[in-house]
Amino acid sequence: MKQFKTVFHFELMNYLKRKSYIAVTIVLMAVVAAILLVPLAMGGTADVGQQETVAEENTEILLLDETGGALEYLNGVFADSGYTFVSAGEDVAQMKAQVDEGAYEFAVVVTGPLSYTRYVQTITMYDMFDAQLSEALLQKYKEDTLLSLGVPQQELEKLDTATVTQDVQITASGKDQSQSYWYTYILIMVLYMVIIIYGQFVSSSVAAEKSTRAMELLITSANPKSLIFGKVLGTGSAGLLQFALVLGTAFAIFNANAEAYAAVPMLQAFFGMPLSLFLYTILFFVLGFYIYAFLFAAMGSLVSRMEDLGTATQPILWLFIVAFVVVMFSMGSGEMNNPVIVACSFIPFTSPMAMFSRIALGNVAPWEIIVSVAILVVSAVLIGMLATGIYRLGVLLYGNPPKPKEIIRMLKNSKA
Amino acid sequence: MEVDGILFEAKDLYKSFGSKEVLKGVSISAKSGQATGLLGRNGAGKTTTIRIAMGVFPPDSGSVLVDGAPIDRGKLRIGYLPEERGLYAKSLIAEQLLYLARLRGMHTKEAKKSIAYWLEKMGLAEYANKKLEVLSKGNQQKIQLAAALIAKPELIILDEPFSGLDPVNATLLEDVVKEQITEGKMVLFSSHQMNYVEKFCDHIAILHQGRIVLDGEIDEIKRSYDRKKMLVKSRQAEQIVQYCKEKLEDILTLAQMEEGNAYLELKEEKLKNDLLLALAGQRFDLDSVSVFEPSLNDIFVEYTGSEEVAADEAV
Repeated sequence: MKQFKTVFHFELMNYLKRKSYIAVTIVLMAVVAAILLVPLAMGGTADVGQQETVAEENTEILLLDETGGALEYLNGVFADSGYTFVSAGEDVAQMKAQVDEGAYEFAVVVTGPLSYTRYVQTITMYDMFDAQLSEALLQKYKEDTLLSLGVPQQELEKLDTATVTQDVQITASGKDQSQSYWYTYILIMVLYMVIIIYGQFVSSSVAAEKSTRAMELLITSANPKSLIFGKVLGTGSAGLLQFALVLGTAFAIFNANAEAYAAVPMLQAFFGMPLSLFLYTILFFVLGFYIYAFLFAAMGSLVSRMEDLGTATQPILWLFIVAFVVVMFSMGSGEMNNPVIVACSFIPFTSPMAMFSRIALGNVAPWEIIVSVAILVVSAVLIGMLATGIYRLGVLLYGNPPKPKEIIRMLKNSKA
Repeated sequence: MEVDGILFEAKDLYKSFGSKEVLKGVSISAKSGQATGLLGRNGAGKTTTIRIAMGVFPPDSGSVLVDGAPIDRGKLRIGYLPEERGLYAKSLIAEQLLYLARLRGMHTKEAKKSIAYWLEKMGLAEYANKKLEVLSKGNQQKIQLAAALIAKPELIILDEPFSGLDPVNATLLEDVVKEQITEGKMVLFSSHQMNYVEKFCDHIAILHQGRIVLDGEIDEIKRSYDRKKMLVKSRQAEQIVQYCKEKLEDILTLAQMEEGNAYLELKEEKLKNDLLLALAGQRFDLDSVSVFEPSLNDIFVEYTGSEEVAADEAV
C-alpha cells in the first residue's frame, strides 16, 4: 500500500509538474471561457438561433408586379427585415442587367398570385429570401381568396394572430431527448477523448520505462501490482483533475452570467443537467478509464521501442472506436433501446459509453445500471490483474512484441 | 555495523529460455563483509543468475536462500545495479533517486540525507536538480550506482559495474565497494574484467556455459596451484636463465625468460632451497625470488578459454 502511494504520488506529480499538462489545461479553460464569453461580449445572446435573413442595411429590391397590389403588401410584410421593394419599369431585360451590374442585389417579377421569378447575382449559403417571399405571397393569396369569399377583415386578423397552446408531457417510460441530446453528446465526446488521450499516456509511460531500461530497477524495488495500479490511478487522477478544472471553469462562468444565458436553450440544458447524470459521468469516466488504461499499460509493457507502441495499442483503439460509433449511431436514431446498444451497455469495454448514453437519453431500469456497473467493476479488477501479469512478463521481453497466443502461453507458465 | 552477518546463497539453479539451457545447476554464495565476484565470459549465464537472485524471474528449479531459508525480498534490503542501465532521462536526478528510495521503504527525510551523501560522494552534488539526460554516460552510471546504494542495502548486487567507467571512476567504484565491505555489507558482482576483480575481491566463482567451474577464495585458489614454478626478478635475468640451463639441469625442467624475468620450473617443490643456494652461490644481483602464482586472468583463461565462444550475452 505504501509502495502504491509512492508510485501514485510520483506519477501524478509527473503530470502536474509537466509544462505541457499545465499549458493544455490552461488553454482548454481559456477555450471554454471564450466559447461562453465571446458571444456575450459581442452583444448578448438574443440573436442566437434566429434564422431569418436580415438585410444588412436598407436594401432595395426591384419589383415588377404583374398581378397588382403586391408592392404595397410586400413592403408591409418586409418592413422589419430591411428590404424595400421599389417599382421597376416593364423591361425585364433591363432589370436583369441592373442586377448583373450590381446596382440591385436582386429583382423580382411577380408573374401570378402564386408564382414569381427572382433574378439574383449570387445566392449565398444563408439566403432565406425565397422562403420568406413565398410565404408572404401565399399569405396574400389566402387573404385575397378569403376576402373574395366574403370573410370579414377582422376575422382575418384573428386568424392571423391565432396560436396553439402546447402542453407536451413525457410519459413514465420516455425521455426528452431534445433537452438531453446535446449535453450527452458533449459528455460522450469528452469521455472518448479523455480515455483515449490518458490511456495513451499510460501506455507510452510504461513503454518509456521499458525502453530506457528503468523497468528492471523498478520491478526489483517494488511489486508490479503497486507499480501498475499506481501508474494507472495516478494518470487517471491527472486526467480527472484536468476534466474537473475545465468543467469547473464552464460552470463558474455560467453561474456568474446565468441571466445573460437565460435565452440560450442549449446552454440551459447543459448546465441544468441533473446532478445524478453528472455523477454518472464521473462514475463511467472513472471505470471506463481504468479498464482501458490497464489494457494500455499491458500493451505498453509488451513493446520494447516507442515506435512499436502505435501498432500494439491499435486493437484497443479499434475496440474503443466501435463502442463510440455504436453509441453515436444509436444517439442519432434516438432509439436507445435497440438490441445492439442494450447489449453494448453490459459489455465491459463498451458499457461506459453505452450505458451512460442510455441513462442520459433512454429509460433504464435501476437493476440494469447496477448490473452494468457491477460487471464493469469486476472486469476492471480482473483486467487490472491480467494487465499486472502481462506487465510482469513483458518487462524483460525485448525484440518484437509477442503474439496473443504467446502471451497466453507465458501467462499460463508463470502461474504454474 | 553488521559484524555477525548473513549468508546469501543461490543453490542449484537451472534455467532455460526456450530450448536454450542457460543455467545448469549454478550455486553461489555471498557473506557479509565479503565481496564475491561472479566471473564468466559473455553468455556464460552471469546476468541470468543475478536476475534470478533479484527475483526478476524465477528459476526452473533451485532456490535462493538467506541464512538457509528462502529469501524474503521484502525483508532483506538489496541494492541492485542491473546490467541494463537506465533511469528516467527526463526526470530530475534527486527526484528519481527519492522515488526509488521511497519505493524501497525509506522515509523521505532519511532518503534525502542519503541521496545528498551519495551525490556528494560521487562528485555529482551540483546535478541534483538537473535532468538525468544532461549527464555523460559514465556519470549516469554513477547515478545508477548511487541508486543501488541509497537505501542502505545489506546485500549489494552489481551486474558488470565496471563497464563504461573510466579509470578514475573505476577507482571511485572500487573505493565505494571496499568501504561497503568494511561496513559489513555483502557484495556480489559480475565481471569479465579480471584486473578489477583481483583488486578487491576475496571470493570468486567462475561461471562457464551455465556451470560453476571454479569456486573459492582467490588466495586459496592461487595456492592450490603447484608451487614448483619460480619467478626470479633480477637485472641479470638473462645470465640467470643461461646459468640454470647449463648448470642446474638436475633440479629444473624449464628455464626461460618471461616478461624480462627468469621463469624456472623445479622438478619438485622441495628443491626450492637448492635453487636459492645455487643462485646465491653465484652472487647474482637478485631483486626477488618467489613462487610464481598465476594471475586471476590466467586462471580465468584456463577455465573458460578452451572451448568455443558461447552465444550472445544472457537473455
